[in-house]
Amino acid sequence: MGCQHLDELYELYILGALQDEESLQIREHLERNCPTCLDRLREAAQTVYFLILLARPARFDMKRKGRLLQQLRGK
Amino acid sequence: MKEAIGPTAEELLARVSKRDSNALGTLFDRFAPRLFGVLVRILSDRRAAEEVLENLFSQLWNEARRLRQEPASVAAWLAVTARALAVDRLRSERGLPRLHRGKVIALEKSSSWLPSPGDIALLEDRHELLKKVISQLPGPQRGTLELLVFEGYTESEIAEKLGEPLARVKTGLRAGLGFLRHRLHAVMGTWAANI
Repeated sequence: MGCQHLDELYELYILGALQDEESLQIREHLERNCPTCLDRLREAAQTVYFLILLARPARFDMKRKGRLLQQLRGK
Repeated sequence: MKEAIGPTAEELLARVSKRDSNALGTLFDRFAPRLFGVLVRILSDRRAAEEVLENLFSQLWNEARRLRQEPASVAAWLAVTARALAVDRLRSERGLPRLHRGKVIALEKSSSWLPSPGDIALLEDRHELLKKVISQLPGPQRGTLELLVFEGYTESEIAEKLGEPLARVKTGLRAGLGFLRHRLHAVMGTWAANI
């Protein structure tokens, strides 16, 4: 079976919002390295990226950065 | 998330993969404000958002070697992973099952499905134009997209929350996403797009 019936599902798949049976259909195509699904998923990821970044930037405590880098250097 | 002048995020990632913590610091400076905004929007709690932001950059540090082998945009990986981490935390607080373990497991094995740095740069250049597209959606459709992206609900949970039939919610969400997808193609493909 081709992939056309999956066309409207890729964004929802990336967002984890599909019901199990629809999610499974895409997963099966991806596990077979379906090139069409991979291309469509890449396009869908652009829409998802755009939606996620509609959130306004926010200021945060820069001390967190120093602490994080210190922790990672210690590893 | 627009690239600053200087090394690209992918060049910085290559340095991070060689354990250059200064490069990670530069990535943090460049992307943290936008990502922190996303995390606060999802979690509505600054302290929780700070913890997730730290976890995100720890994950980038740990996965840098694998990620640099793939042609994916670092900005896209950060945004999608930030949202996934925050949504999983929110859902856990609400007693809901995690979304990003199992259900989308095929995505976790590789990042080759993420857009390229060039695609993301183009999208960022046209971000303001694209924001107009969102305002063209009817209010209720924007509301369900908000529940989907920032509240981390599945289609069936949205139907339950709104007290609407699942089929109607699916139709509305998929139509909204389809509209965005097509407008995004138009905007990315040509400036002459009539939006």
